[in-house]
Amino acid sequence: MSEALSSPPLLQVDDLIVRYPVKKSLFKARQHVHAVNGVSFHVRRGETLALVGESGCGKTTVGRSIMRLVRPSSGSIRVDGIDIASLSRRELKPYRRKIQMVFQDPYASLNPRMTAGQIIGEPLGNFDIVHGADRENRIIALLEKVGLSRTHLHRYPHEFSGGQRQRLGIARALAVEPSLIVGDEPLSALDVSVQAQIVNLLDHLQQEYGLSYLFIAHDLAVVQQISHRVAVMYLGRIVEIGETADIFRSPIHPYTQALLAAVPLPDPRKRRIIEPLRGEVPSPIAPPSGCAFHPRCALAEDRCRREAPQVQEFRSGHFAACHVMARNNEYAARPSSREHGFARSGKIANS
Amino acid sequence: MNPSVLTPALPETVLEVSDLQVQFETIDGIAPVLDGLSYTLKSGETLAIVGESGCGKTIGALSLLRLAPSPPARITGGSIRLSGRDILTLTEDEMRGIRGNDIAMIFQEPMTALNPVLTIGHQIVEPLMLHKRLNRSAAWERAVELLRLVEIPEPERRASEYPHQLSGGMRQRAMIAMALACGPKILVADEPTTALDVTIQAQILKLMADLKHRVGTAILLITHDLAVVAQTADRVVVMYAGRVVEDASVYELFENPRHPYTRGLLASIPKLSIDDERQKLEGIPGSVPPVGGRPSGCTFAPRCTLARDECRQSVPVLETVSPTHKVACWAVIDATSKQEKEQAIV
Repeated sequence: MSEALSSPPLLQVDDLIVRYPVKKSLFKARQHVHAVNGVSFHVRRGETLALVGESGCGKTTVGRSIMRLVRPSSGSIRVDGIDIASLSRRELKPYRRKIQMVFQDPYASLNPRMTAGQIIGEPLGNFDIVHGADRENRIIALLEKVGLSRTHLHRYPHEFSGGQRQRLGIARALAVEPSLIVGDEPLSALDVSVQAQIVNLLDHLQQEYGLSYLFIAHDLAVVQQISHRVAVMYLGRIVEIGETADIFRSPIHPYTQALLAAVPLPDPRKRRIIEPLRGEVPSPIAPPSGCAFHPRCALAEDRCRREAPQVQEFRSGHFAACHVMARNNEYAARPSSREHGFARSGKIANS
Repeated sequence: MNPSVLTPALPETVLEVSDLQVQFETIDGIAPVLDGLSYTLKSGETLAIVGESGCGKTIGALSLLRLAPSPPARITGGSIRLSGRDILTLTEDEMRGIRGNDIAMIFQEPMTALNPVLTIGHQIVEPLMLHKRLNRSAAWERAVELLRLVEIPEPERRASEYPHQLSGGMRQRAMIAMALACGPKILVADEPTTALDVTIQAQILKLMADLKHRVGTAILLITHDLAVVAQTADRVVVMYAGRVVEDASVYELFENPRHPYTRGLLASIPKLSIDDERQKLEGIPGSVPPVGGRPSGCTFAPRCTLARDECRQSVPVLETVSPTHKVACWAVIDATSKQEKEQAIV
C-alpha cells in the first residue's frame, strides 16, 4: 500500500457530525441523538477500511452519510477532493456513480417485481452508460463477473438463494463502475459456507478493478479476513484506527481490547468464557461526560470523566483516543515526521 | 475446561430423539423437513445442534415442545423420549405440564418472545404459579431471586418493568430467568446470542456456563455459529438439509471432522488470529437446497467433491467411526471399512 500513501485518498471524511432530533417534549428542551460525533478517516484507492463497533455506535450512520442518504449536520465528506456533504440532489448525481452501496439484507434490497436483468440494467439506464444490444451484453458480463450466468437474466429475486441475491446486489453496484463500494454488513445475513464465497468474490473484484471498500461490520473475524485497515467506533466516535494487523495484534484502546477478547474462537481447546466488559452501551441521547467509554472502562480515572481524549498516533498509522494509554505513548513524544490524513484532522469535537 | 468435570458421575439420558420425521404439508404438496433426526442428550450436558438456515434445526427444537407450527408442520414418525416417556403420545394437557416445566426454551429475539404488555416479573410468576403451585407473593419473591441469579442489577425494580424498558442483553437475561423458573431438566436455546452484540454475547455465554454448573440443566444449543459451539458445547450434532450428517464430541468434531460438509463449514469460518496469517476461506460451492427441492440420496451430494453415483442414489446411514463419533457419508464409511479390512489382513 506504500504507493497509495502518496496519492490523495479517494474518500476523506473530516469531523463528521450527524445529529438526529428526538421527539420534542412540551416542557423539555429539544434533545438530539449524536449518532456520529466528530468522525474523521480516509479510504485510499484499492483499500478496504472496516468500520466496526456494536449496535448504536454510529457506523451505519457514517455509511449512510457517505451515500448521502443522511444529511450530515456538519463536517466534510470529500470524494476525489470534492466535498459532497452539502451538495444538492442534482449536484450529487455524478458522485452517486462513484460510490455504490451493498446492503445487509439481499431479500429486502432487491425489487421483487424486477428481473435480475432489469435490476442490473436500471443503473445503466439512469447514468446513460450503455444502450441497445450493448446493454444486454453488459448485463450478462456483470452477471458472469459475480458468478451468475445469462440463464439468470430473466429470473426474479425470489428465484435466487440468499448468496445469489447478494451476488446480484454486488452486480448492481458494479454496473456504474464505482470507485468505492460501501457495504453495510453485506455478509451478516448469509450462511457461513456462502459467506466465504462472497468474501472471495469481493476480494477478487477489488483486485481486478482496484475498488475501494468501506466495510461496515460487527464480526471481527470477518473484518480481519477482508480489511486493510480498521476503525473502531464507540458511541459516535472513532476510538482507534490503524492497519488491520496492528489493531488485532496490539490493540491500544481498552474498548478495542475488550471487543477482541469477546470474540469466541472456533477452537474447543481455546475456551475463554469471560466477560470482557460489564454493562452495556449507554444512550447516545445523554452520552457520558469526558471519554464516552469511561463508565465501562477498567482503567478509567478522574480525567477520563471530565475530558474527552484527543486522537493521537501511537505507531506509524495507528491512532487511538485514550488518556491512560497516551501517558505511555512514546511515539507521540517524537516530532511528527509525516503529514498524515488522520493526524491532520484527528481532533474530536466536544459538542 | 474438561467437559467431563461438568458432568455428574453417572450421566443419565434425559432426552432421546429417534428417527424423528417431520414434514411440511402445503397446497404445493408434501415436503420432508426432518428426515430421521436422532440424538441423545445426557444430564448436565451441552449438546449443540449446528447447521445452516433450512437444515431443520429450529423445527427439530420446536418439535421437542410440540410447538412446530401446524399446519404446515406435521410429525409423521419417530419418537421423542423425555426420561423414557415418549412425548409424542401425550395429550395436549399432559404436554402443557412439560412445557416450561421439564423442557424450557429461550429464543433468538427476546423482544418477540416476551409479552410486551406484561411486566417481566409477571411473566416469570406465571409458570411458577402454574407448575409449582406457588401463591402470588411467593412466586414474585422467587421471580426476583431468579432475576438476581441471572445478574440483572436492581432485580426488585426490574421485575416491575416491561420488556421495552430493558436493553437487549437484559431482556435475554430475563428470558433465561423465566426459562429456569421451574428448574427444567432441559433448556433449549435457539440461537440465544445471535441477535446480540459481541460483548453482550460474551456476557450471556458466560452466564449460561455459570448457570449450567449451578443449576445442572442439560442444554440443547441450536446455532449456526461454530465459534459459539467450540466455546460452549460438550457434543455436537451437525445437520444438513433435514438429516444428521455427523455427531461427535466437540474435540473430535473440530480436530477430526469427517463429513465433507462439516469440513467445508470449518474451512468457511474466518478465524480470528493474532499471528495475522490471513487464510484463504474456502467456502462450499452452491447453496443449501430448499425444503421441497432436496435431492434424492445424500442431500449434500450436489455440493460434495467426493460425491459418486452411490451418493446420489441411496441415503447414507449414521455409522459409528469411534466411540464418540458418528458420520453419515458413503465415502467416509468406505474408507473406514477398507482400513479395517487391511488391518484385519495384517
